[in-house]
Amino acid sequence: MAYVLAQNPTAANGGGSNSISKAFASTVTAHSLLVAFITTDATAPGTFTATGGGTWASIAAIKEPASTQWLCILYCLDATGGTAPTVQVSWTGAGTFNGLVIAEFTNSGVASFLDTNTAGTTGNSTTPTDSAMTATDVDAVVSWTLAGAGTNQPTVGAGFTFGTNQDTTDLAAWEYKILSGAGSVTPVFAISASVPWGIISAAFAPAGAATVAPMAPAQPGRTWLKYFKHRQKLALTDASSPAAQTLTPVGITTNEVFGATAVSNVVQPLGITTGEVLGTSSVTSSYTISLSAINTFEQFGDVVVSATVAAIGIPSAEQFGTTAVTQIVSAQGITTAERFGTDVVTLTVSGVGITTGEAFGDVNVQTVTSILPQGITTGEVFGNTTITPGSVTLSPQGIPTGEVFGDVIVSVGASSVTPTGINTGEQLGSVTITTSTTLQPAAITTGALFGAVALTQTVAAVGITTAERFGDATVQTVVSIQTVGITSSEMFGDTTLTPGSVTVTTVGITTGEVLGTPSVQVGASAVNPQGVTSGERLGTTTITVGSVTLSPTGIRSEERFGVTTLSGQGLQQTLTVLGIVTAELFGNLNARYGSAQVNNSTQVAVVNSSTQAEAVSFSMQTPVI
Amino acid sequence: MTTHTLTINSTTLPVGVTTLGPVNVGSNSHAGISIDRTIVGGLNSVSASSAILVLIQTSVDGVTWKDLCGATWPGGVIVTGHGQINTSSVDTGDVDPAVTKVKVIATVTGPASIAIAGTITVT
Repeated sequence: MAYVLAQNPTAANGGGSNSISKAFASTVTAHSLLVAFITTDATAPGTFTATGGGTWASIAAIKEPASTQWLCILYCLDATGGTAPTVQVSWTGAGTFNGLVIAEFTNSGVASFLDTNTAGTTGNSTTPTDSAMTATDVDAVVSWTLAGAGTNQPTVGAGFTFGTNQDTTDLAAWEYKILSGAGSVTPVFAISASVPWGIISAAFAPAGAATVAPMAPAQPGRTWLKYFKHRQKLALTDASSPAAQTLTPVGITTNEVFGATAVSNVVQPLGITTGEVLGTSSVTSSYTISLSAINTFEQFGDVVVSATVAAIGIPSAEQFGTTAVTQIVSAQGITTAERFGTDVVTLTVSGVGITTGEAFGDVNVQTVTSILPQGITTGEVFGNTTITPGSVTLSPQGIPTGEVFGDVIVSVGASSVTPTGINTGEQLGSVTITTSTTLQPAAITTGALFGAVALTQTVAAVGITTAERFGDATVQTVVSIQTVGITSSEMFGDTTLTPGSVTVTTVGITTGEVLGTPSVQVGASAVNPQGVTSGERLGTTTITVGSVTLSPTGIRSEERFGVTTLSGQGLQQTLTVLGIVTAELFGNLNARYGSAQVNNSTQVAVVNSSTQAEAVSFSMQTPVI
Repeated sequence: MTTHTLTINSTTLPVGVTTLGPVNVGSNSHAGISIDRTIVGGLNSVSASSAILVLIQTSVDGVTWKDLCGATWPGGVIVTGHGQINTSSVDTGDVDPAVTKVKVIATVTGPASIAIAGTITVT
């Protein structure tokens, strides 16, 4: 019992087809093994199927990469027989180059089973060689090869019998080998030039052949013959097909897709805690101008104007922390060569400010301004004059007797103090001007918040939806967010300090001397007292003058009034008081026992008294001199 | 051995079965049919749900016909690793020298008719 190649029609070729049929030229024997060899360059042919002459099955196809031709072997293990069937092999999608070869192997009317087959092999050489197969019986081994390039048809390999070429276009051919028993077999072809190739093979064994134990005739006769016949019958009827196999491919079937891949992001901007706000920024500046004891050739002392801007919050030189966004997408599984669909990764980073709550550090703005009035160079000296803005007290001291003040004019508002005639040696007192300035930088208002920082990212992996797992694939995306605005290491910008204007205009220095050009520079503000020229004015000084007390002490001692006594009744005396030149009033004049008359140039007063004890009061006023 | 060619002018095959030929032949060994898919109304212009199933048959006596080979040509533009398919064909050897006639049974499946133009060649 051995396989015999019964018929092997010429190949049929069908360009632009997704099925080819080929008819056997002769009637097929029942239980024969029918084999079909198919090739196509259809992109994704899927599973090859066949009809005609019985039930067909196939082994897994293989693709020769250079020509993109698929190779597959289909088989009918137990042909119906009795006709010359037309075998039609079909697949998915049409191919440009398609070829079909069919063959019939008979084996004494015994059906077959697929003993073993290869997964197919591809290579590039002159000897297309498949993997070794281990046959279990007197198998019919068939092999199907295709040259992926060149013009040379494959020819039979060692130990095999040539079947047919598919055609001159696809350069495919098949061969077979009938084994005499179990053993290993390695299909091989030959090509005259080294080219890419693919090869796939199968071995078919007679059904039940391996399960029939040889039976030696123990006893001749009817019993033995009957038993022998029975065993043969058993053998023939035991031509069962191999059990159905279940193929569980590990991995991902083509066209399957992943489900949705979820990616979540965590943005952790470091440094500023959400919700915190800037503290209160305030700038307080104070100015002090102290004039003291300006003597001849002396100058104003140092005038110190200092301004301090203390913005509460972020200390100077502090930086924002680093904002880092790290995203890791770990799609599990994909190790196969399958392709994903289109992966769309959309990443949107919306930095809308900073919502964190750390306070700004301290911002120190310090301005030091000096006022250096220059140039009182006269020999004149100021007296001790104290000028207090809001309240000015002039306390001239030491005016010798007999000296007089000149006109003293003190006015408030566009005020001027014009002391006249302060003799040399007199000094002005101290002049103190105090100005208070508050600066509130309007940049970051207390309580204001930065906006929110939002990061939205969507990773839409299109593709595999099955539960199948790909190998390990890791998609890692690292995203950095750099908040715009206050760049790390940057500080606040310039703080503008604008103190109120300060103008000092000293009025009334009557000498020809001039002050120099003192200047007060505070931020963008300048205090430039100008114009103390010979004319002699300082700038406009706002001086509020309080009460002024003058205490002249110039009435000489010898000019004091004594006690005037009139005595002697009937006497008329004339009392002439000297030296009172003002319009002052006298006190009372007492007259006893008589009358008294007081004459002056314009008035006569007579006092009559009847008794000594009587006191008659009268008054008189001296004329104004 | 004489080459016999039947030119199929552009014709529209309705849904169903249409017989092309027969072609009188003799002492030939090879037969085939090839059509242009790109003509107006041809295979490239119809959907993939449409197809033409062709079957080449031979006869010795003109009465009894025997299958030789066949193919299914799907509609639609098809691109393979070798480019777009613009021709569909099927051919084979094994023609009995005694064969005197060759014909093609074309069966159109799908929603609409399909135009074809080509040749049946027996050599």
